[in-house]
Amino acid sequence: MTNLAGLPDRDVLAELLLRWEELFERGQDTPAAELAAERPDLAPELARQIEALKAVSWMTQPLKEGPQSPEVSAVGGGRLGARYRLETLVGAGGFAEVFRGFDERLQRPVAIKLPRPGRVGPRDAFLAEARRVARLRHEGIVPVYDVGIDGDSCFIVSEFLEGGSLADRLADRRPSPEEALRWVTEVAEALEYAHLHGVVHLDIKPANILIDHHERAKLADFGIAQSAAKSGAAGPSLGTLRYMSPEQLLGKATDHRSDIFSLGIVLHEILTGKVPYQSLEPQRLKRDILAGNPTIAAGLSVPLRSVCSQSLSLDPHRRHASAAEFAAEVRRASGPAGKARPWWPLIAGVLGLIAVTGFLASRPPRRAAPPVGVPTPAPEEVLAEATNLFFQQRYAEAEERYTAYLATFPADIEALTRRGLCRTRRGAFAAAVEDFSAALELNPDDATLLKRRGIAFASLRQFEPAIVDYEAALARAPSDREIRESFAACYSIMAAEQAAQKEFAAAAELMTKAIAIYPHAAVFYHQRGSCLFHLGEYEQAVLDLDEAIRREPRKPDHYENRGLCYRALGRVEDAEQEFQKAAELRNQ
Amino acid sequence: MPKGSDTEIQELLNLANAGDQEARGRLLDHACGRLLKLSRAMLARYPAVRRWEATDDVHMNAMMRLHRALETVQPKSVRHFFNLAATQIRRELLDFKKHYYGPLGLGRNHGTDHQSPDRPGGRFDRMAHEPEDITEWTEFHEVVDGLSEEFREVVNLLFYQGLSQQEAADVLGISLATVKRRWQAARVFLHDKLGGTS
Repeated sequence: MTNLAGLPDRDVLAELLLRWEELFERGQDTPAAELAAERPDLAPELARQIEALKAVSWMTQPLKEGPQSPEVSAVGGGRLGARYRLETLVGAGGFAEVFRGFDERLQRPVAIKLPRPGRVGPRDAFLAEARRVARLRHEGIVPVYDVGIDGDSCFIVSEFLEGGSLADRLADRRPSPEEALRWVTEVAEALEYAHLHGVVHLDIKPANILIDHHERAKLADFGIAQSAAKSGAAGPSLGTLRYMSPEQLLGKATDHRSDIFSLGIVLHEILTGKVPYQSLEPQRLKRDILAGNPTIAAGLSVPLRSVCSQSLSLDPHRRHASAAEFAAEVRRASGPAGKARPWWPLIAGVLGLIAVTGFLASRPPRRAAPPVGVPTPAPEEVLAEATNLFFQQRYAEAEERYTAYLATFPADIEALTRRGLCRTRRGAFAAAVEDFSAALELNPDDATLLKRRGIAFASLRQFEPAIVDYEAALARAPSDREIRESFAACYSIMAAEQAAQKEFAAAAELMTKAIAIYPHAAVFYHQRGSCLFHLGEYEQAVLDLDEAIRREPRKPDHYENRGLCYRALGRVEDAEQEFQKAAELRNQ
Repeated sequence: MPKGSDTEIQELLNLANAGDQEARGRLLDHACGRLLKLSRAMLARYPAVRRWEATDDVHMNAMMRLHRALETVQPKSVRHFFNLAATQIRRELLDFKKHYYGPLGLGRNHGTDHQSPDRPGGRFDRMAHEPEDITEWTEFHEVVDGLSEEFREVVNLLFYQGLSQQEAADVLGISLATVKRRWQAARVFLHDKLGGTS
């Protein structure tokens, strides 16, 4: 064995790494700290290199060759459900393969997607998700014809589009600005429809935007990403990295605003030929996206730059509140400037869009007939101006205009809601509660309004009415992810207040409720783990931290706190490893 | 991995350099057995591609490429031969992506998930597992191509040619310990370069 004394650090590390691998090949995974007992200063780097070697251990193992049979392996005989004939593989990747196929019953070409085993959630859940997506009917969404099971395979059958994808178009040439903006707004409209039906795409990118033979953009692969995300197998690889929102990259909770972020990237790319985050190094790209400094092309008009910038905000709350708003902004930004009433047609378009989706179909009439003696400026112009200011996040001014408008039309739900949102965002929660209450009197079944009032109540620390509102919202929209997340966050705030009073048992109980309502956020497990730690229930706390780490593996706090639990349990070495991991993550 | 001793390969090289076509063919056999495995691994997820053309195409093209290279370069040593073979194999595997995603490629339409040809990275933890698709494999081959010569040579022999560490040491004329050190350093470098997270 080489004497390490006097060797340069690099050589010492190489020697220690050799020792580790020799032992490892004999089945002994020696901790770095033990190997580097003489040179503890090198232990962290040695530990890192050991982890690197473990990660690339596949390089020293036999290659995974695919089956050498010439037959399509996923399905027996190349036919599914005794109906669909598989023809050619037309796409493949992380969690599924897509075949051009033929529906022998209806005698038409179809696209057949076969998820890879283990890359989507449990089969039943996947099918349930697929069936939910199949219910989406919108001209901007590639229709799902069928979902089914064949042996061990589940599959999705959808329309086959010959026109290729937006990615293909972009590879050939840059579309004209008119074409580009039309496609983006078509996609935004389709997204709005899906969002209103509780479906988030989470994989918006040019390759998933197909162009039909009428040159209309259609979104493909709705909901697949979510199913895959639920599997936990694919994690942040879903979606092409450069289109992913910061919250997706961090493995945090996502909602419709993640789609808006991704569509903002597409908007920029389709107009300029470049994505706003261009690094080819994955880690750097991730860092750039998380830093939130997109490179917006100078050639874009100011309004379009503004749309891109807003949609690419790091904080989802600062993005457009809905895909419809995004579409409206794009239309406005692309329209001729200087019109006398540039906003009214736009607002009408947005309202028309919402009405088409059926979102407001059951609501009472939104606006009474204007009274005699219309003030100057016209209320519609005041409303348009208010909405414009709202989109620009100039909430105080927007609130003022909405107030002026509501003086004429006090029963306008949209205006009441928007003013409530302005007030929420300005921190005037009591006033916001009044607006949402007024809107709810007009439409008591609106789950989103109930949620918004719940948020305002929770912000006022009036938790009882907040919970009543959230429960009512959930009863009306039980699968609404945003409502669930917000409700859970309300319990999280309550728990934090209890913890501040050293009432850890009560706090832990509240966090259990939060997790039951929204089990997807690492932060909730971490918070409950903290309560359990303070209660001396270290093993239970470790379980929560395990879950938090599984969901958010890059957060140093998770490791540090798990280290504290280990130390309390007398597992000193494990604790040290956790502290080391936390330190490494902080240094990165 | 290629079977046959250094001496045998050296003899084949001498014969091939003297114009012996049969010797050249046997050298190609030595080099391309591993290629077949690599191309199958690379295409494991593309049953239809594998079915119709690709594995054979990649194999055949690499054979032709190496055949041409052997004619023009005439490697003098076993070491030179293996390096040449590994480089040609890697180039062919890299070209395969262009073929697959080129204007007439099968992957051109319906790139419905992260298999976009312009995909910049992929999963952050991808170095925690064997590359799973063409894009990931391509990134891997590209990074290997950019390694320093001493690292690349070891990766060529151990990974692309499937030699044992002792065989690689013999071919390179260096100690086994040096091969081990370079192999470790190359793997750590590849891990870091390809965005490993550990």
